[in-house]
Amino acid sequence: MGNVLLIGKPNSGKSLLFNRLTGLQQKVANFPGVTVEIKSGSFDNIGIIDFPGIYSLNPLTKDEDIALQKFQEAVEQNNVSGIICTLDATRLERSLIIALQTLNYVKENKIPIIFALNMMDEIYANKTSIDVSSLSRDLGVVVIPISAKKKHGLDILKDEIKNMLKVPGNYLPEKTWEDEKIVIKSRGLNQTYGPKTDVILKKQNFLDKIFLNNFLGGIMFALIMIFLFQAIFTWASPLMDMVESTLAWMGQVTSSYLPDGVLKDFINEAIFGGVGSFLVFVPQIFILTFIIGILEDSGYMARASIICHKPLSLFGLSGRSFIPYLTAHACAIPAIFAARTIESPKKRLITILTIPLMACSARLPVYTLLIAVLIPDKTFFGGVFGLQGLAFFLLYFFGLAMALIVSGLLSRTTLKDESDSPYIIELPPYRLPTFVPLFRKSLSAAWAFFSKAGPIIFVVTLVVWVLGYFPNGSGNLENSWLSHIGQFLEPIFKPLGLDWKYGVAILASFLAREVFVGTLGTFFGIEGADENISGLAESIQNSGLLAASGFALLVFYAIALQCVSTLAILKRESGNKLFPIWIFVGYTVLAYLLALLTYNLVSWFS
Amino acid sequence: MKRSDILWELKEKSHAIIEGLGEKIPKDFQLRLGELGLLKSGSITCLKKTPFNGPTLYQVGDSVISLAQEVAENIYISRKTNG
Ligand SMILES: Nc1nc2c(ncn2[C@@H]2O[C@H](COP(=O)(O)OP(=O)(O)OP(=O)(O)O)[C@@H](O)[C@H]2O)c(=O)[nH]1
Ligand SMILES: [Mg+2]
Repeated sequence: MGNVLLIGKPNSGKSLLFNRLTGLQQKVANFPGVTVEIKSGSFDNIGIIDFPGIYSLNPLTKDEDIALQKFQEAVEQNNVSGIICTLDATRLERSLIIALQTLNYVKENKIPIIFALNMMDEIYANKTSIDVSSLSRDLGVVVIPISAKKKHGLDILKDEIKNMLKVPGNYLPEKTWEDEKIVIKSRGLNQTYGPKTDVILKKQNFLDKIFLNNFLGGIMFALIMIFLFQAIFTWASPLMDMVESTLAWMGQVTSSYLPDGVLKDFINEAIFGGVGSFLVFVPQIFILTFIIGILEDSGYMARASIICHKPLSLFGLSGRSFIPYLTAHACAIPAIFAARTIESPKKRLITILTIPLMACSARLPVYTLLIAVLIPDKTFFGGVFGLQGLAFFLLYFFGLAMALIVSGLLSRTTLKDESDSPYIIELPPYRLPTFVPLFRKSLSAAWAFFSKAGPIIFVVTLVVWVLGYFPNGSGNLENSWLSHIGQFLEPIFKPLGLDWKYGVAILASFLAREVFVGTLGTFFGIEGADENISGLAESIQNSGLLAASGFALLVFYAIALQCVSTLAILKRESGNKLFPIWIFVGYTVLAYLLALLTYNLVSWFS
Repeated sequence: MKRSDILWELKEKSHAIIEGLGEKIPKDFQLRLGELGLLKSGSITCLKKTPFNGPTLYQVGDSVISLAQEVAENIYISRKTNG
């Protein structure tokens, strides 16, 4: 038996409905173009497939293109037993365009179809209504009113789906519409049966006057961004301290039960010193995801994209690049996928190539550690603003500035884009975020961060520990195997004022950036075996790292592309085998040169 | 009916009737604009201009879309009197 496909206008709630039906956790957010890849699941042995939203069967963007190709493939291979077309009841006219086009298509291919009229809760909340039965009669299709959010009508929908698979004949569309008339027909249907548009758009239009106000709009945008990045630092600190002290306590308890020897050293130095120092950063990922999640649910992302359109165009990008860029602060990979919604191929490519410069969460541990080492922990205004938080913000800004410079250069030096389509975006309504799913989403992001980088960090730490511990054991790092190997690296890192230990940590972090922290943690664990486990930042401070070298490290990590998965995705999404190589080499060289410059500038000033 | 009016010059809170799309707009994009509600002889309202000639918000049919200057400059309208 084939699958049931979920098709419909962007932002009409397909993915939320998919999650409700299948129990899976597909990403849901309040702007058009969230889903960019198809995803399958099932309920009661019925396969369900969530598609990227499409405005029409005439594709314009890459995500629509992919959706349509997959859709047609599935139909041609007889893999489709039915279709659920979601309609956004608050945007009935827009939803009906793709819905009527789909009706024509499925009638030709004899596929049964159901319309799921979603967001009915908002229709009721606005005290307006839709004449569902007349709409259904006029269209010649089964229309089920539902609310995926409030879980209304889902049982009825499930029954209808089962019925559709049993007696497909009852669900074949009765009518077709001339392609040229679909747009006008949709408007007519909405005017005859639909809700009162003015009532529905009232709140949205009112809020847009504030959030897009000439003066206030810009200020609020800046405040929201500053708040976002400041919060990752300030709000996460107490949680991070908690994790750190719990780990320290656990380390003390375990070592008091273990006999002296290699095992005890290993547990203390590699597990608690190395892997543990990375665990401390998990709360930051949680908070980052949580705040970005609030923005995504609220509908603000589309407004921010509008505000950024003009400034971004100066650098050859468009407002569409905003969402991928912001997403990239969590992780470059979903951000590169999100760039599929950019309609101009050239702008999309430039966005993809510069996404790795955004301060992704793998850089967080490195930044946080080095900031704790370099910047004094001073706060102002009763702790609202801190020097460290400010430094953190500047690092984010540095990443963005580098990305814009590179974008500007790329867009000016490469060929003109023939198929450059102009900027256009449909504005979603403002909605209050739903906190429980958001909380769950943030937890699973923190878990993913841990479980993805964790194994790599464990293995690298293990190798580094073995090479750094033997042959002489704890406290003898300078005569270990690793130190002999590390000496070869000294010439590269000496100009930055860094010794072989940092050289090894940097090299190892080409596997994953977070490894830097774990590796240093292990080194200081081996070196200071007799001391109590103190914070890693403190150990680095005591080791006498030069400020100039510290800043050079920050600059290096801000630019270098140390992420194998990003390179793999870049290759796939750019459709060019050479891009990842160029960009890897380019960013590494740039990172080194700018780090060198930073080292010399800071040394000269101090 | 005068064809000289362009959408980009429509003031905030005023209404107009769409007369047509200019040739400078690519074909596939013209199609999309129609599907997004920009219908010939349909009405359009300018909701909000943004600073520095940023994308402007328009209401067409039951939705609000924002159009960049390059697009709105190439859309012809006729004004409604006292709209
Ligand atoms: N009020 C209300 N909101 C809903 C309902 N269903 C979905 N939403 C919200 O609508 C927004 C879009 O939901 P998604 O499931 O991401 O929409 P989608 O159709 O998958 O969007 P794309 O993947 O971009 O095509 C989210 O903010 C949801 O929380 C509903 O029944 N009522
Ligand atoms: Mg979706």
